[in-house]
Amino acid sequence: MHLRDVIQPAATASHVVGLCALAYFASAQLVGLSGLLAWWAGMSQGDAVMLALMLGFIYLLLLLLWGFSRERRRNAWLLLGGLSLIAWVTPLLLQGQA
Amino acid sequence: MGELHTWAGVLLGVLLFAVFWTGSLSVFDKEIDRWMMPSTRLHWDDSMQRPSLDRDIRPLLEQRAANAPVWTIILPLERTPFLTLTYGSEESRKSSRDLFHPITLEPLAKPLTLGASGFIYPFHHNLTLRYKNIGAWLVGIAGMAMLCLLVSGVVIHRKLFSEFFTLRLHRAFGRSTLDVHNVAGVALLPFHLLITLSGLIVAFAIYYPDAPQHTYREQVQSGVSAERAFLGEALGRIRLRAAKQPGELAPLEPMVTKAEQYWGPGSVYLLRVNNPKDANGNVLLRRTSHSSVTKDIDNFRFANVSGEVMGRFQASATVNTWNFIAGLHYIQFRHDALRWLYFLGGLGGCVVIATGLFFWTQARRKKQQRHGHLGVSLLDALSVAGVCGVILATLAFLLANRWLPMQEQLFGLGRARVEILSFYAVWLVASVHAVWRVMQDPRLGYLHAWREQCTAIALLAVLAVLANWLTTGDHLLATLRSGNGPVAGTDLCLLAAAALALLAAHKLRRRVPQEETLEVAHV
Repeated sequence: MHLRDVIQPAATASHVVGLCALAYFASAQLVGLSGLLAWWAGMSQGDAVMLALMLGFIYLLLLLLWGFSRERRRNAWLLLGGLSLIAWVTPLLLQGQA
Repeated sequence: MGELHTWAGVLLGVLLFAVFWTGSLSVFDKEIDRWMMPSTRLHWDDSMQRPSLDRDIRPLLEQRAANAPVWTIILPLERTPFLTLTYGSEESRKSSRDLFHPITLEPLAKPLTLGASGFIYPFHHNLTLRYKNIGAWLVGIAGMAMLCLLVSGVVIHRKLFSEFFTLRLHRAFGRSTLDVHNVAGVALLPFHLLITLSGLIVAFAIYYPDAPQHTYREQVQSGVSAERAFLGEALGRIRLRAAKQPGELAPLEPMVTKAEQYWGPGSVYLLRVNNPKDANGNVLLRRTSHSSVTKDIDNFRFANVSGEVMGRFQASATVNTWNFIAGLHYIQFRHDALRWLYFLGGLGGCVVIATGLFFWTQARRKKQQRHGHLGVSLLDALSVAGVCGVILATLAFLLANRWLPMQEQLFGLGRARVEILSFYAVWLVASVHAVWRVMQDPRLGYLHAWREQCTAIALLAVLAVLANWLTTGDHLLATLRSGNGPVAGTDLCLLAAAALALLAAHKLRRRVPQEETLEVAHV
């Protein structure tokens, strides 16, 4: 058995698990951001969070499908990571200004 | 997309099958409960006079749980034709539950089982692994994988429309398996998308626990939990603290009359009395969701001492969208034909998953075995254990329910627990059998394992029907004649399962010599 036979599957498994976790993190941040934006757009707090929660699963599905359909793994990581960062920072900045 | 479809299916197929199988059974959980709890095989319809809350039911609560912090009264309904009283204790949050005849109010014999609603349904959504919601997370991961499988399946099957009309059952085994997978997958695609997405959305609080944090930031800063504030505002879930001052509970009947003025006669089915003997308590009334798909979470709250209306919660349009999605998943509406379609749709999902697994292992077996890899053999064993094993385990659960002596304690454990242990023990035995068969003969062992477990399914299903007859006297003809739908339906489904399993075993028996011939030809 070559070392490559072990490293390749391990790298694939790490990519799959890591990308799923990153997609989930990004969707969770997008849920928080969507709730905040919907509330600022005039919805009640409860309605805004409920709407964002329902959208959360659609976000996650789209991110997973998009992430796993990239030909280059690095691109998927970079773009999902960037999206997560933006969705995480934006509510903090917006609330800091408010 | 092809890789995503393959690997999500292969890695999570077995878990998905268990979730779809128990979900399909949960469609009829109350009916299976009637089968498993013979003392509750009663009849109730809405035209019958329900017992008086103050004259008949309250004394039962006073006798049994005068000091309990919460009383819950669930009035008889068509699918649960008995009165249910539950009461917690100060020491334990776990409630005890008593069942009563809906007319005479005689206590019913304790069922000594969790039934389908207490075991199969929880297994469907949390695999009964409640610690830190591990089971719910695993089910959630499988659910999201299912969504990915459905979408990627559409993408990789470019000839989706023609595949819908292509079912060649008489062609080669692998071809016909793939045809069944494609036809069932395409025909049931909308249902599977709906049921999987709604299953995830109903459990939002587990999967996105921090969602309200940003929006409820002001409340968090003032010391209120964001989750509690959100649940109170959106879903009307409000906690009440006892004043530690004695109080006398006002009559309950006028509260129900008042609520039913708004909701319609006979619509209240649940009353929850919080702090019944305290000055600061309330009575919460809920109405049934029988007449609409939307799950009804509206409630009336009355002050426990004065009997005055404290508040009325009505879900907003947005929350009702969630209630509609939840209602689509929970199926509490009254519509037998639709319930059967849900059941068949769920079983269709099981067929899609099982044929997908079977096709994948078939397609890769020869290639991998040439290289001496054990991966496919192990996946074969896992597929047999995951598909036939969970069905056998369910049948063992039903058989244990009928065969175990009606004693509260058996082998030092509660009877209900022994039933559950039977489920897991038979699943373990089926798994060991599958591994043993596949290891014994890596070429054809998987076919023997499938065939033998299918035969075992047929045998256990027939035994379950017989056990019901012998232990209760309710044989199929009697239940059909008396119109006992839940028991007759369960027996008929068991017999249908036995027939299908025998047919599958027969087809597999014919398949073994064909495979041997093919192997010889390859050599």
